[in-house]
Amino acid sequence: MPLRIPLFMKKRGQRRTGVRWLGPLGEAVLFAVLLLLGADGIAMLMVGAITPPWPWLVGIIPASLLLYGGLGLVELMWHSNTSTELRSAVAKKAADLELRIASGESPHTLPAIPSIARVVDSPGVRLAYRLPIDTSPKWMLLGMTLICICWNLLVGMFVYQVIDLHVSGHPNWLLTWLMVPFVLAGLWTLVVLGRAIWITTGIGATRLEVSHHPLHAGETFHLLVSQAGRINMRWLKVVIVCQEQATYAQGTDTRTEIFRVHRQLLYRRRKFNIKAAEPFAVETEALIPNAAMHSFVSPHNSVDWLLIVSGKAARWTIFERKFPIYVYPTSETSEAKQRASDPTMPTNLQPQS
Amino acid sequence: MIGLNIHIRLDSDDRRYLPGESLTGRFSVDGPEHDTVRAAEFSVLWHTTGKGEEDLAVHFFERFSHERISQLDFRTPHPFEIRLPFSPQSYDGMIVKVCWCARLRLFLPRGQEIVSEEPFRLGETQPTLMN
Repeated sequence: MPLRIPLFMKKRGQRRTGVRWLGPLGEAVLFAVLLLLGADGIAMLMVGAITPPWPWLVGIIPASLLLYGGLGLVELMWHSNTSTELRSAVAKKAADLELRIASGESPHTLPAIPSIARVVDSPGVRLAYRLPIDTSPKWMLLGMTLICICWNLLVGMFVYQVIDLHVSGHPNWLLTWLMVPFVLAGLWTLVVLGRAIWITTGIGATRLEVSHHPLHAGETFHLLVSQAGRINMRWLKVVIVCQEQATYAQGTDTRTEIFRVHRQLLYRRRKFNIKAAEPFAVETEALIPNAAMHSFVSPHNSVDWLLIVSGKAARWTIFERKFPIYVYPTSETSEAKQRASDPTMPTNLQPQS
Repeated sequence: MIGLNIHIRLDSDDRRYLPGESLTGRFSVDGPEHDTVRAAEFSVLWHTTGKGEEDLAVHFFERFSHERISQLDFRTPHPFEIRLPFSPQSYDGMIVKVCWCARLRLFLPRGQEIVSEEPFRLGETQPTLMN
């Protein structure tokens, strides 16, 4: 029967039509070409066939091609000759070994659950632990600042050239009008950045403390909410949220989708004033629902629990501050934990007599 | 068509296990081509399904190479007993699902493979309802 290679492929659920080995073969050819180019470049430098001004500096180019092609080929061979399970088992062993060498600790007894270390290292004033705020807004602010600076510097250079042409008496009107949307976009980034900085720094600090950590399904815990500043609040509320987060590739983009599966209002108050000398503070209770999913984290998926404080002050837009909390499995008793961490316990394949 | 059948049987009828409990069962392979198997991999693992890219992690893994296969005849059921971890527990969320299974992968001549798996539930987690 003649070998047929279809020109078009379709995705049918989890499987694709078409030849399975065609993709890896293309990758292998690409890596082999890069490897050969790199080796050829290094050989030419070494025998003196080409004599650039800085041979060692220029040598970085073929060396990087050689390294990239070589590593790509090794990874491709590893992927095509091993199963997903074997790769996962090797990765797990390597991670366990790394942890043992780095800290002398036994491997994490609760796989795929985030560690509570960053919560329990900060004691609270009235309750046991002060929760750290979710740092993602700060990173977003940093990213926005960098984009704003780069964009406006670039636009500024072009604007300078355009103005220079006008001053010298040779105006370029096409370029001038083309610059308008770029300048407007630059102004828009400045407005958005200014608004984000205003919201982040203008409203006083929000502090959240919890009575204990980690939390478990079906458990009640105490919570202290404190809001500083000199604000005339329209409303303030505190909610507990459980959300699923999935990251997936769509074409060449990586997208993240968040779906809230649980949301419960813990506290709400309308129209009150907060004085600068006396931060607003309220203590309340929260319940993790029975049989709720514990916190879960893996490279592309997660289940996160959060406490969210949101509010609206007079003459301000709505602000929202997130505080991650960690819910651990309920069956995790101290005896069970000890048993799981004990390497002598039977976790191997054991023939039954 | 490959003349091989994989059977993975778990001892628990409802296939529900508590964290820290032992997963017991047996696996076997039969069919006219049972002697063509070059290697086998038995694993207990969790993987995610749903909207995101699939994540997978093995809790237990054992590979049977050609030499061991000649010693172990998979036509007779091969028992196993594995202590399950405390996490992650099985979960049927809206866009994230965590599934546990026992999986047997057989490697055949000319790069062919057959995979069979038996799903089970770890823990008593229920999908949380939106309030």
